[in-house]
Amino acid sequence: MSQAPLLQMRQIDKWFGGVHAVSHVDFDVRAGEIHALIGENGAGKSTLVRILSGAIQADAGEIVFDGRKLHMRGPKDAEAAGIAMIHQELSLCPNMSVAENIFLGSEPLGPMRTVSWRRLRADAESYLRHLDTPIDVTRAVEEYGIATQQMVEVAKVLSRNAKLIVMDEPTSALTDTEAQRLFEIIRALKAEGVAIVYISHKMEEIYELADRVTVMRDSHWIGTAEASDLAPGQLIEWMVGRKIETLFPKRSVELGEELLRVEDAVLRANDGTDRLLVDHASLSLRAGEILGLGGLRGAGNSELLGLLFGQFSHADVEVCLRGERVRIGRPSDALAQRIALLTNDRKTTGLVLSMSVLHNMTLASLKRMGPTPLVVPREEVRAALPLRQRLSVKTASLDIEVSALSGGNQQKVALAKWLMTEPDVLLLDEPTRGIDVGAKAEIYELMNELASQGKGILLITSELPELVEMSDRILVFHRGRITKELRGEEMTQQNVMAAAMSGASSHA
Amino acid sequence: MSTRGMITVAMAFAMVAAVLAGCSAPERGDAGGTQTVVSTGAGPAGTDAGAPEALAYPEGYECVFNADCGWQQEAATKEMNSALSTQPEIHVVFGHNDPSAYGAYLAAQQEGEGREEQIKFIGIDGLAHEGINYVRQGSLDVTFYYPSGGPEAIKAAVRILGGEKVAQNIALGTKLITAENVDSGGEEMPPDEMPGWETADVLDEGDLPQLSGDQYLIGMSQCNLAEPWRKQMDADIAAAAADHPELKVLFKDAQGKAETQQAHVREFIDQGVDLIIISPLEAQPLTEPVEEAMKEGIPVIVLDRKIASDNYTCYIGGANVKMGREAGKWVRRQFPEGCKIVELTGLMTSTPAQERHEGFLLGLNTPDSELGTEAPAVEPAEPEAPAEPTEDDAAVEPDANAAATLTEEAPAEEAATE
Amino acid sequence: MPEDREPQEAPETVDGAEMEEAARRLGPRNPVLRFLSQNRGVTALLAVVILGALFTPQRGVNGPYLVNVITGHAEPLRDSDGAWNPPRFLTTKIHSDVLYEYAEYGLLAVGMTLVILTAGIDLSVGSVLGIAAVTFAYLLIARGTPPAVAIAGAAGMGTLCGLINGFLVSKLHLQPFVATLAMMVAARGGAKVISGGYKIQAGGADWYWVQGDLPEFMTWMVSPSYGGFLRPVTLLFIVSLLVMVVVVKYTRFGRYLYAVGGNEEAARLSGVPVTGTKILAYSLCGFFAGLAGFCNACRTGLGNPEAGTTFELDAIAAVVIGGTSLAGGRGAMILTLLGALIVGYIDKALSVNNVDVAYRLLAKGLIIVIAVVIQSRRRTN
Ligand SMILES: Nc1ncnc2c1ncn2[C@@H]1O[C@H](COP(=O)(O)OP(=O)(O)OP(=O)(O)O)[C@@H](O)[C@H]1O
Ligand SMILES: [Mg+2]
Repeated sequence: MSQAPLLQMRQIDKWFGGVHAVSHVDFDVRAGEIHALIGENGAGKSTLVRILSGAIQADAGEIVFDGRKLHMRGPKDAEAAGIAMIHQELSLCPNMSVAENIFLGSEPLGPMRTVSWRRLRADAESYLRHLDTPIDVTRAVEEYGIATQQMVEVAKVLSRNAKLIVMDEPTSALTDTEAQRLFEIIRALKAEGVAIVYISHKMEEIYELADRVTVMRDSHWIGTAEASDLAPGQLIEWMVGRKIETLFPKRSVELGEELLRVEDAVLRANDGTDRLLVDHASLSLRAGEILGLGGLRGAGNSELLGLLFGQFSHADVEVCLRGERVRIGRPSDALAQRIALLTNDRKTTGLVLSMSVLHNMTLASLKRMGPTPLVVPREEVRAALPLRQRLSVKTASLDIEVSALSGGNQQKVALAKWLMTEPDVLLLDEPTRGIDVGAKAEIYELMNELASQGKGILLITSELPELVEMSDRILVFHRGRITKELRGEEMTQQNVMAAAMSGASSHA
Repeated sequence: MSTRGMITVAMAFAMVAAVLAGCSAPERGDAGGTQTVVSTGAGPAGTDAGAPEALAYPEGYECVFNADCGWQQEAATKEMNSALSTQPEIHVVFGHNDPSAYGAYLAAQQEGEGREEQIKFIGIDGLAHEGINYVRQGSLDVTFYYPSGGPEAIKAAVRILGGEKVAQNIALGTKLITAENVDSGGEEMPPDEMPGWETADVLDEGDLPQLSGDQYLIGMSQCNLAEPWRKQMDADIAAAAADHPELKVLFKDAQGKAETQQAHVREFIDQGVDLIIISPLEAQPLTEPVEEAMKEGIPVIVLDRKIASDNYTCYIGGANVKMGREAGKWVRRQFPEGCKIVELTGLMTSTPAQERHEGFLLGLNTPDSELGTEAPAVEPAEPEAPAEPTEDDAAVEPDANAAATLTEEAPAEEAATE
Repeated sequence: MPEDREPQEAPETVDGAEMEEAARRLGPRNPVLRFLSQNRGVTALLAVVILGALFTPQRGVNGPYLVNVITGHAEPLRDSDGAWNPPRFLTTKIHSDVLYEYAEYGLLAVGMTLVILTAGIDLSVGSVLGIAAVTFAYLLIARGTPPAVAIAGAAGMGTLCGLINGFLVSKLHLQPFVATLAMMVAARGGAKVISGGYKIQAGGADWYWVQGDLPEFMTWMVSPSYGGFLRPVTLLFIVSLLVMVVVVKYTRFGRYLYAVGGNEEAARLSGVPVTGTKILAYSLCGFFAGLAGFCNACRTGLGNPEAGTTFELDAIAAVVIGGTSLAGGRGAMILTLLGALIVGYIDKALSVNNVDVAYRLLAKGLIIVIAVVIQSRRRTN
């Protein structure tokens, strides 16, 4: 028998109003192990680890850490005990600099017990270099994209020298390469004896990293096992309570007419430089087609979607839609042309967190619901219910604030909002971010269904299997340009990676 | 569960505490907590009140409601609403200024039960377009004219600049204005006699000196021009100075800030003015600058509110206690048997409100022998007082079609009482 | 201890005990209690009215009723000739007074709610009230125009000020605090320019042409009609409020207010006309400030250029006490009515008891804190 576990959580129980988020869960973690915590959206994973990090208090149960019983009144207590956490919803101060964020609450002090700005900067830079993210640490966090912010979060946690690090879906915003870099760091931490609690919906990651796996479902503990003892099918069955035959359903759709043609689209950076974020990109999307857009972060694919939707106030674009030329300068133009964009960051650009689930779902469709300026609650509910059902949004009611939903369920709400607009062209940027296996399958099914109805989809995803399996064709971006087109047999994860990394020089 | 309970209890507690704390006051016999007489020394009558024994409403005269309206008409309307709904009997409303009294009148009128007919409304200030107007309309029963002291200040200035010595403290009187006498300019009420104080008459004794220099510069610092009465003061000074081409008056407005007014005085000194007139916002902060000016040899005339030392050339004012006192006496004469009074005070942290309140109590406590009667015997004596007829008329002078206005009154009142 | 356990099944259906527990955690069973625990604003208002009933005096008796009952000073509820003499809070006059006295603040708060929902603030409403009051009085009293023209003038002046605010905030991207602060100063100046610095009133100063009497219309606006309970001014406030309750809850514009206040970028990307929404919100706020100015002029019988000074703070207080968040995106119009009534009733209870102003301020401060604490607790739960 090995020594006592580093962390023991016993009979943890938590209610939110009438929702039982965690019910009598036991959970333990050994020193130096990577312990994956998985389960469906809304299973209670984030709630459990937020209790562990002191962000919220459990209604009942006890936590024993490092041989001592913890009395957690706030995050400070957890930090003092040696527990650090990366939250699912990023929790940085957007207007403070990267360096300040990394050391928030534990700033290095100079001789006069004042903050030593020089050391603050130098240390922050070294942590980020370690993470292969050499950015200007004096700039405000909000100036960087969500992936970089995620890396800042990681740096922040590393700086705390914790004995246990909790990571709640750290890779959901990272590309493959970035994720690989993170895994190296996690392994290095493990070698130093740091224990990691790792939450993710990506099966490959679990098998790549985890020593043990704990599964939760419907607020309950379901089981804990060595990762090597657990076959993927078994794991999924524990998670969703049923078998899932095929994750990526096959389909055969006759491609129709050309739906959307983009010629030489250009997007300049709005920071004074004349850098081209999208550099003369041209593409053509046919009805019924799912066109994958591959590329590293900042390669221009996300930016192209934004441009096509009129997201940028300093740029507009002319496209050929259903055979007609239209100019798109504002989101409302795009909406009028039945284009929808699911952005890759639900918290800042996808949802209005203070509004209810229902109102978020209908926000983009209000104009279509009737000719009068009135909104009719009954109509709204009628439009929302099927989508809630279809996407299995787990919520106590449609009227609660969307911020009270689990991360994956928030993502489903964001997706539902756009599906409700019944778009012809659907621009999807990381549509399954943070969504559990079961619901993912459902969303893939839905995408196929839309395609078969003659809609066109532009798909960006950092999960290569998803990109390869779902797309009819893949365009790979490199430094703002489309450098490669992959079809049929050529569409493999290796080819996409190779093209994304090296631009035009790659060969199938 | 328990927190909700706690909050409810706390809320109940807060209200109960506030209500109890405030309510015990009227039962103690004096309305409100600020009734002890504060002898600020600013008022001529207050200074010789003798022992600092607390003044109170006399037997028979009951203050049934008392509220600090901060000089605001809206606040007065609101408080009067409350008074009307709790007090079945109200005989007199004493407003510390005309808008307060008028606001109370509107409250009674808007209640729609005709109670405004049964209540006497008393105001103070008697500005042409406010109090006088309200008296003429029949809203107020009486108002007491608050002289600005502006014309007197210019007279004093001419004498001082001409090398004469003027009395250091000059008390101003008031005028009682009712519907009967409003068109004749009101009834003069000269200041009470007090040791160390002269009346404004001394300024008219003997001819004004002929000023030799070609141009004299006078600095006038007003504490807050947003108040209509102070606007009137500036206008009075300007009008009086216009008769003396050799005087040039520089007007400044401190907009209610003591620091600004301190700066004014220093600027005047630097500018080398020949004389300073100041109507201070507060006594303490302006004492030092005024003393500085005096040290520089610049005479200073202080208007309305005093400074905290005796180091000034001439002070003109002190009508606040007088007006309150006359109001009190008027009530005594109207209701010799006693009555129920609502007092709507000005901002009780300010000296004018304190003095008007104090004066009112003094007036109510006046022994019968000193009351004077409504007897016309007094009347002829009063107008003989050689007051400044021109200035006063300017202030009280009704507009040309005053008579017409008066007669058009009736239909409006009919409509109001419907 | 077993470290790796066999997987257990999550209970398939939620069992009875679990349902019971969930229901218990949702609050009291009794529908009335449940409503009260979920709508704390209403509870607070009820508490205030009940406390008011117990602590207001009877007619002709000084001191709180409850205290008088305890000390034996209370009059019988029914006096000798059979007429009722309850504590004053149980009479209609008090309630009609509260609504009437709060009508101006209420109108300002209605507009303020719209702006605060968009995560903005309008500091200029007090001054806009002033300029509108003066405009109204100028047109009606000094120029003798028909009342309708004067009302349109006041409302138009208010709307214009609001429009400028909206333009500064949404087009020039000034911070709402700064933009409306500028308007607060400017509108006050404008009010003084129009009125020449004097109160405009019948029989007033002679530099403008003046009607002899207080126009009948102004008196009518504030005299009890409708069964002696409501005055036209009160009615104007109530109708405005009800209309805006519907607008905020049941129109696209209303929904957009929340979206813009909650997350402007997400709203824009959902096709919400952010600029238009803000401009309309500020314009409506100005419009209601204009109506409030018209009410003020009728209530005081004159156009006072100083009218409405610091009213913006009372309006903001009413909104916040109701529970609308200053951060924007959360709240409701009906809550503002509650907020206004809570402040109004507390003020009234203290006023009829003839409580010293100092204590009233103290109580008001306490109430604001308590109300906001209640609201914020609800959010974190
Ligand atoms: N602040 C809150 N208020 C009310 N309910 C909440 C709140 N936070 C979480 N919940 C509810 O608790 C349950 C568990 O949520 P939790 O965030 O722990 O899920 P999760 O397992 O992390 O899901 P995901 O994979 O989607 O992130 C959900 O039903 C959620 O709606
Ligand atoms: Mg989660």
